[in-house]
Amino acid sequence: MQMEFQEGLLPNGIHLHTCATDRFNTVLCKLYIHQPLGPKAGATALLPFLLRRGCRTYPTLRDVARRLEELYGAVFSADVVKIGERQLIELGLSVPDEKVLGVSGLLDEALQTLAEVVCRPLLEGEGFNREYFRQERELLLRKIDGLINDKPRYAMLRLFQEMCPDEPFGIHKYGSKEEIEGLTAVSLFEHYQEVRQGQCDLFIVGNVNHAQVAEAVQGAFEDGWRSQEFPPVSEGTPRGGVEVREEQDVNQGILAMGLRSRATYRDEDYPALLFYNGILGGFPHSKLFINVRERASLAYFAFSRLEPTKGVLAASAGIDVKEYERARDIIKAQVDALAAGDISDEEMEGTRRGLIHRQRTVSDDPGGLVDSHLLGLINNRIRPQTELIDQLGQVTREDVVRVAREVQPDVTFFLCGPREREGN
Amino acid sequence: MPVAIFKDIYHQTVEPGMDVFVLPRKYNKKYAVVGVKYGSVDNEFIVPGEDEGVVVPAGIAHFLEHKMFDEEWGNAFERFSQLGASANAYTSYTVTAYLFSATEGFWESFELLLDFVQQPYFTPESVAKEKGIIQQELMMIEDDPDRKLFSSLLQGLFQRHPVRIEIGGTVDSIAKITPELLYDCHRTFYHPANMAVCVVGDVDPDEVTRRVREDLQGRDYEPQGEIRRIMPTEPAEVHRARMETKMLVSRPRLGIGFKEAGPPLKGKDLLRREAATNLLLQAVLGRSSPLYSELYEAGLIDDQFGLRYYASEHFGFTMIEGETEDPDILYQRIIEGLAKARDEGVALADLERLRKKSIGRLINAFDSSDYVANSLLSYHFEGTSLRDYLDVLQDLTLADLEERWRHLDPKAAASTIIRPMD
Repeated sequence: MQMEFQEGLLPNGIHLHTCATDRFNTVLCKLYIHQPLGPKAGATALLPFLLRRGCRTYPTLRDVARRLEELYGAVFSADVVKIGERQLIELGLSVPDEKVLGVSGLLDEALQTLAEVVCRPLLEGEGFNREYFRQERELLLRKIDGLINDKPRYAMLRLFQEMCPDEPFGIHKYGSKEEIEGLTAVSLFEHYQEVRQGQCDLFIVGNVNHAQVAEAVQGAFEDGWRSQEFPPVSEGTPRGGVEVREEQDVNQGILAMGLRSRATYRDEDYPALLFYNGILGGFPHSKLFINVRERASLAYFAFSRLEPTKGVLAASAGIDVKEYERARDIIKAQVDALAAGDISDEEMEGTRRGLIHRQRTVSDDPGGLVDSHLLGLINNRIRPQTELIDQLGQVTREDVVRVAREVQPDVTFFLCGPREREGN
Repeated sequence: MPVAIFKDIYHQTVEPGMDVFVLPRKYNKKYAVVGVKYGSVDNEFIVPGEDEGVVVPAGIAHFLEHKMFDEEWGNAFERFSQLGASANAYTSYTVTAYLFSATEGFWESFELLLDFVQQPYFTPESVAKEKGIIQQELMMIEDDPDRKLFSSLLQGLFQRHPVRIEIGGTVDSIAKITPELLYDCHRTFYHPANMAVCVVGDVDPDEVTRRVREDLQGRDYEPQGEIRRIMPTEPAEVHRARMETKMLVSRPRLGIGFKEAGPPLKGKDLLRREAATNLLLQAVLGRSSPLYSELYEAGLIDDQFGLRYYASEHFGFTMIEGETEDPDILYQRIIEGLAKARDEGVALADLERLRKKSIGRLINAFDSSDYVANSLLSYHFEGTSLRDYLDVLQDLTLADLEERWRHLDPKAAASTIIRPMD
């Protein structure tokens, strides 16, 4: 079954994308507000947390929570996401399908609740409610301090910082503590008013009718949204050969090797780039898993991931601190092997099947459908599932090698324990 | 009421005792899982046909899960990957499961799944090599504060029950694992009568059953007697009421646990206990409770604050956990808050709202084939079903919730604090 989005620009300025399907028992609504990733990243990041804290209709945390429970435990998510060099406020609400429950009006009420949170925040004087502002700012600062708690992710974010010191991509999605500490309830409200005039995309996936949903969204949300163009991602200079070592009190070392590809989501070579990442470290048959884990027994996890909008890859493994050089050399050898065209038929075909499988499963998950369509919007290049699957069927070894030859090494980051622990 | 979503779940038992569950649905993805009623707590047992019990090293069920993918012809995990299927496996306290999803060539992968879980192949070299990989997995857990808090709290709560030991064991315990021990565990637990298979996706249930039957017919199983699992008697008192440790974290973390002291339960009775405890926890400490708001506004908890009751036949526990500026004050406020909530009682309106929420969340989860397949298995192994869970949610009463106050007794609580390094 083909799952496609029907698009519409509403009079209030919201871009509505609905995917009508009877596949699911729930309806997912996801709202995105676009911002360039830049010096105001911290302010933008604070907004979703502050907005869901309370609004005029549901002024307290408890009012919001009770409201969501009344809506059959509507799952409400609030965060920011970073895609390429774009930062997006993401507010999601998922409710059971009315027909499954035998009730009516549930989706309209959910949309109304989402609109209250986005459009009618709790104010005080010239700014946001000061108490809520103070609490949520503190919690965001703690979230930033807490990034160290998840070591594999921390290593990844430190790698991107080291790779992109002068590019927006190096900025974390929560921005910097310095910027957030400088915010006030008034300055943040000023930022909110700018954000409220930005590009807003609302996705709805489920057993819905586009025209009816459009009417509900137009009725619930205030106007003032406008379409915006954003610059494509910036050019960067790879820092090949640079090794950065960070000592922390950890038991396991985490190696993260950065790579830059010339191809991105926007290019004809995107399917070949997916192959490149897949053969390197996207699957259990991939070079990293086989060589770092299965042959050398060095790691439990060893994989690569691709950020397709920026064209950045990271190869990562959790290893014994003493094994850094060995693991680094093995990973580097896999990158070199790909550039030299050392790709077996099994690797090509296993990767082809795996990539096609992943694309096909996208339409079994409402969130996956939204993510995939949003990626296309941000890159100004919609790739319908069927088209991409078709292209994946045609990628050749030569295509992969062409992409591989243009992959450039960047920083290698190593999170490790204190030096005195080595040599035991 | 949404019972209709359960109406298509198909169940049949195939000789010599493998339970087969199928939920046909029009997704592109077909998901299959084989579960074994065997987890990290099954460390002491009597092999059918023998008189003496054996004690095996902690972590062996998980080690076996890793090693099952090795076959004489190669590695099943890589083979799935080459077939374009996405495979995985996990070991919990009570279940080991092997699974894959595929969008084409489903039957080839399905036959591979049935085959490799029944074909042990261990060599001294492969067992030695796996120790390096699992050591790194254990190190990763050592550096993960969520996992660390959880396992430390279980060590505080339980004196003897093996749920207190990390699922993967320890570096020392896995060092003792040999191919012979792995074969013993496989022979004891990986019998079809102690296993179940579940498929969710666009398949014909009869075809699933037929393939399972054909696979099993060729394997000459003897009927298996009862596997006797030896579980120590767990005293009512906690092991250590308070534990503290330090690790690389940005802020202190507090975990409060309560040990289940009620009798062992199975089936719907166990589900009722589980649902009642979870709803009581949400009523008094969930996001819509006054206590949650107080703690949040005082800066003592954040949106990651969590509560959950874990139920199994022979053990159960509540876990309350979160990051906090002041773990001592938070502990005190939670214990006092629970006492106050107990005096005030739960309002009927709160129960009704939380019931709605739980039913909505079940419908939401039902859209995930992974969730459905794995829940069908775990509920089956506890002698119940997803359908029972909905029934229980629909007829829970305030009395069911009030009864659970017995479990949240501060005298049966243990706490763990993780503090940042100096």
